[in-house]
Amino acid sequence: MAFIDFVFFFYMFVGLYMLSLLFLLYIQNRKKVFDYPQGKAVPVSIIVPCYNAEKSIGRTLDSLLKLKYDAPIEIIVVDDKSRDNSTKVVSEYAKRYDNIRLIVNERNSGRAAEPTNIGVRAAKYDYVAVTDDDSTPEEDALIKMIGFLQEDDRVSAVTCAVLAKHTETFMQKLQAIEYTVIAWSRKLLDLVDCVYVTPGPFALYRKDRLIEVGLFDTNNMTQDIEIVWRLISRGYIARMCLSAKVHSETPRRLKAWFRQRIRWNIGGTQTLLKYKKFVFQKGMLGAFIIPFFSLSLFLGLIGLGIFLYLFTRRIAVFYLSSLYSVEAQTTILRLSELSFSASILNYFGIILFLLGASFTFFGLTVMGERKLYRYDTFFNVMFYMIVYLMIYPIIMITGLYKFARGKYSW
Amino acid sequence: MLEVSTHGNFEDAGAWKMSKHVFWQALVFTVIVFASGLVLGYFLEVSRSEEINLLSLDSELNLVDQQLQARSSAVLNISCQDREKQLFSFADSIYNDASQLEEYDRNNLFSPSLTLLHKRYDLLRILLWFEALDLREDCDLKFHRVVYLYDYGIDEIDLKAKQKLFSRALLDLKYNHPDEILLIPIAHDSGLESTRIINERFSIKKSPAIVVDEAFVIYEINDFKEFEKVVLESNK
Repeated sequence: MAFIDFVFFFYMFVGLYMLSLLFLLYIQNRKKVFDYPQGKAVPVSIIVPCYNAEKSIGRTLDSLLKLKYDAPIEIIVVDDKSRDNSTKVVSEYAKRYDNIRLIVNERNSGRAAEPTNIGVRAAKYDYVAVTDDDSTPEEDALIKMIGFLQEDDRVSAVTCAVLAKHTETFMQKLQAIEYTVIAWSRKLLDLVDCVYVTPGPFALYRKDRLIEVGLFDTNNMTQDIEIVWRLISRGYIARMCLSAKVHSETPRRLKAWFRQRIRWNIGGTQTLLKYKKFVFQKGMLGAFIIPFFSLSLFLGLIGLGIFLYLFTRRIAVFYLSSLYSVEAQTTILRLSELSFSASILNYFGIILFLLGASFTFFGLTVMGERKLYRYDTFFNVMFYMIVYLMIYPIIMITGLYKFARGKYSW
Repeated sequence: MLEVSTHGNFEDAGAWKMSKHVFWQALVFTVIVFASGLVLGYFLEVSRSEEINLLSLDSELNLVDQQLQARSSAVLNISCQDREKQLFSFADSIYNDASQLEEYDRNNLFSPSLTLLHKRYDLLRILLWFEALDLREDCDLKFHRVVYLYDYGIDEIDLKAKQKLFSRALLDLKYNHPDEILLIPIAHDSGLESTRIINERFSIKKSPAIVVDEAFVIYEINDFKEFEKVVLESNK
């Protein structure tokens, strides 16, 4: 057996382990994945960091005003020196609604952390929610999430199911599948205290804990990941409410999607480097979250490297032999040259792929995302699994390169 | 008054601890599935080796049969045409068997024995070559012996591409002249003493190489028509 074969077997093992873990978590807890503790509605401040969102901020504010919640809510929009008419739109809302406030940052910080921190400091209530300027939480999201913070003192942050708002372009359909499966997987990890992020579209925090740990890191590209790792490192935990949903805008095209994922990757790398000293310490942060992230990064890079190496060699041999054959005027390709005999690695790969596909379809079913079940769902899921996920190593490499060069921005 | 969801209090410490056991359960499950897969894979390869072993045995029996026919052709009144036909049939048979062996070997991970089978087939083909020489002497037949000497298990991209070209050209030659060309591919880097002697006898400088009718060696194929002409006009 060659070294590469051992690497492939290792990949298969890790992939099989993760799928087994998630399937077992679901099987053992399937009756309670959508459960949530019934909490008491208490006043909440909702912070909306805003930048160049004139087209979406109105819809976001409308959805926040429609929240079914029997306690005062204040909405603080913190504008990060937008260059469009975002402040004008928000001002109109502030005039109409007493519980909406606009704060304009004195400078453009370039990231979400600083305006969020401004909002948290200005918040008058003990619980703060943070939402993106283009997200729309469902009416019952807040009431479903609040109980998590009240039933367990360790819980300092709560996230919900972040789903794709639109599925118009093919890129958005793929992201819709991705977001749905991620939401479900995140809930499964929540069952073992491994929630590692409270995504920006809608998250709820205890204000005192945020201030205690120093608020959001303004240098981090993914402050929503970093804050959770910081909370966990201080002995707190984050929870996930799968029943609560928020709908988030997703990039319509490949280029915008790629830029977004690069940013996420850079933020993830920043966070990993910052907390690497806690590996095998600090509860589930060191026992699972950090190793999981590190292994994903490592396997992604190694996988891309091996794939490129093998693929390039094959293409080079095919190209050269075809060139020689054309020059010599011989047959270019024979059926006998195509190998149909499978090795054990092929069988493992097929089984892993089928398990992964089953997990994806199962997740879509559990989540009941009916709009994803159309005539083209099967093709979209297959494309998602075969093509979309294969782009991730490229994103990792690009993200690492930009991170190493220090050239990145929101 | 706080109420916990009616489906149970999953914050209970006992249930929490049980959830953490899932990491070990998943590990055990994965090890079992993985080990089962490896065992199945091993048996699959063993079964393939057995299949090739049987084919190889069959080929060896055919070779002995050929040799017997050669020795007893006068007594048993076996015509030259019959002997030639059987020789070609035998050559085609071991060529197909060896192709299958190569395919299995490409996907083989656990069983080392296929390398030995490769050597057996190389020896069979060398013996085939000698049988062909004997037959030509006995019967003065006009077929051409095209011996393709290649490297087995190479990594260089250029060499692999060149060997593919040679394989395609030789198969084209065989398909164009099935009854005139006896194609005998031999891996001359297998470490066998016979292949070492062949390399020395024909002063093989590089790989791949084609020995035509034991008369000359071809190292390049730049034009198939020219190559075909050179082979067909050999020994005229």
